[in-house]
Amino acid sequence: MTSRERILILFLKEMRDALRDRRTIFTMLFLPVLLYPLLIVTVIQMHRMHARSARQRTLNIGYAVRDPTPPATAAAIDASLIRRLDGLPQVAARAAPEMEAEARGEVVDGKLDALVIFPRDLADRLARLEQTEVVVFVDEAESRSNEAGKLLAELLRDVGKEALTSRLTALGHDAAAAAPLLVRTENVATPEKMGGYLLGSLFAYLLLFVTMLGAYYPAIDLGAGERERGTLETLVVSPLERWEICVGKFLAVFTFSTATAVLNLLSLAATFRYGLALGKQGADALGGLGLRIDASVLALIPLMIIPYSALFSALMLFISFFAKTFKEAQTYLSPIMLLMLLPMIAMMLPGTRLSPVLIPVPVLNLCLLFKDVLVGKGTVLGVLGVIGTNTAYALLLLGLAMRAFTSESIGGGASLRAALWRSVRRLPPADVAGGQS
Amino acid sequence: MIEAVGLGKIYEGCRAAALSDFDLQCRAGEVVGLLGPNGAGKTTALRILSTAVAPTFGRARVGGHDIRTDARAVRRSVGFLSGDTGLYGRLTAEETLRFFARLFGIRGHQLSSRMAEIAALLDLSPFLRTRCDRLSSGQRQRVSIARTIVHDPPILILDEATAGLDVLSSRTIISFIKRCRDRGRAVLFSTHILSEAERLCDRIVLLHQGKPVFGGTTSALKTQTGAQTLEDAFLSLIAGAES
Repeated sequence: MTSRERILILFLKEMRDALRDRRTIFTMLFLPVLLYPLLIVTVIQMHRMHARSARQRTLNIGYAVRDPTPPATAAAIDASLIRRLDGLPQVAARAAPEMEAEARGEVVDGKLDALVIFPRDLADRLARLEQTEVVVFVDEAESRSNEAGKLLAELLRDVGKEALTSRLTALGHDAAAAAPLLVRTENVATPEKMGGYLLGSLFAYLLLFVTMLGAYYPAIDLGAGERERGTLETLVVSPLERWEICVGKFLAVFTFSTATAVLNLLSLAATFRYGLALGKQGADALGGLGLRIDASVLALIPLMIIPYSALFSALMLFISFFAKTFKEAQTYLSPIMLLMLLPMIAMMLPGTRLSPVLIPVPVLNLCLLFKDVLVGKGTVLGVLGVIGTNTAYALLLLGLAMRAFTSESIGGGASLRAALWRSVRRLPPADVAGGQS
Repeated sequence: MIEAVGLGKIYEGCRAAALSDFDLQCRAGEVVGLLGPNGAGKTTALRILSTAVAPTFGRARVGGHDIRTDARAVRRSVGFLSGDTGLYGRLTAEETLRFFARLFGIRGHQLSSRMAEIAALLDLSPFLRTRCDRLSSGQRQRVSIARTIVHDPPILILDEATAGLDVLSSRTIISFIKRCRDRGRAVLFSTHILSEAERLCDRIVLLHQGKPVFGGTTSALKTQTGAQTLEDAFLSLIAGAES
């Protein structure tokens, strides 16, 4: 019987065993398949709730005049301005207390969402073509106040423009002369590029995270779990060589991780294909109608994922071999999941692009490559570099796992540090029977 | 069948030898017991002979194969069972046995007939298709034995195989050992239960602090120590070794 046959027998056993583990099935099947539909439904619901609350909400805006001596009343302010203020959608405008400090206090206390202080002689100043100051008080720690402030700023900008136009007209000039540049921004991104932009940022990260999660439970179960249950010993005294055990287990973990990635992609594709049919709100929530991902890009994604999946399968199995119990393995592996946040943060930093310097940085390199490829800016060097680098890391880790596994004592359990040191220094195995073929 | 000369083991990070100067001979149709207090080196000796761990020094041949240079052939000759050996809980008894049989190259008609033979021998049929995590401890023990002999090995190495078992399950193991001896198998086993050793063993090897302090028959041990029972002889020898 050849090594390949023995590895295949072990692989099939591991697959059968793991497929009956509910934790593995949950992370491999349910999570990736349900993740995107759930995400879309959640985003749409939040979108709806936000819109509904925006419709129901009334912003309280107060107005007053500066230096009210003698006390100024609302009549002292241009009545048309008040009418316009009151006419803003979901705005209730009212006169604020005459003393400025008292009026400000109402914003601080939340009785008013924003306060606008006009100069006493605003209308006259505007008529005299003088520059004048209008002060708006907001509480920037409150979202309602910020919104009210934004509405006021827009209104006052319009009032200012109208004043300028009437001044220029009165002086016999064309109002357009005051705005020689009309800026209009148009989005030239194709639906594919917009899809790529969205996928490249959030969804690529989710894909990588879920792929890693697909390796998590099988790796723990097939390494530390077997040791804890006392079944690893039965393999060690079987005709399987230790490296064959390692490869068989790696293949099983790798298969689960890759299957998770594939299911994830299918779910993503289905969500984009059918999820947008949920309506305009769903489409808006995703950033625009007609979102599409190029088919060739979709075909490239599995190629990029496979070395990454192999890398994490080898890493997790490597660590799992040293843990004596399931819980201990979880303790070792959980920080790795948290470390995954670092590339995400790095990816979002402005100006972070895939460069020759970043190609060897695992995880980050793939995140950045995803971003590039999905917006159509991927290069052959980038694709080959990242795939090659991740493949090399995966092989290195698998090699380390094999060396560590053959150098540890299943009965006694070598320490992680000792086995790592032995693996790195390429020392001969200490606690394994000789005659490894 | 088993021949060890000067076997020894120093584990990583330890200064003292877990086992040293271990010599042993176990022939076909013979049951040899390894006795000794906890930490005496019994498990280390058995695991070296089953190739689960490598010796630091010494040499041994099991089934005619060198444990250092021909480990796989050794494993084909040996059926190894320990008290804390587990079963794959999510596989059925049949799936477990088929898996190990295939690893030993048994397939096709040979596999079917071997499965039937083992099922009849250990009365596995009623629960052959039950998942191992749903079996009683006695049933699990029988499946473990079946796993050990699925490739019909000429040598059996049993490490505290009766530890923690109830009377009925222990009796299953004892009957199994007797049957193996009757069928010409060489059996090497360790135990804490001296009555078991007295009943089963043709010879015993007594280990203390990693070194053998006695090798021979139980009656020879009693004669040497002048004790009436094996337990007294055992305690006397250990006390002598410590002084």
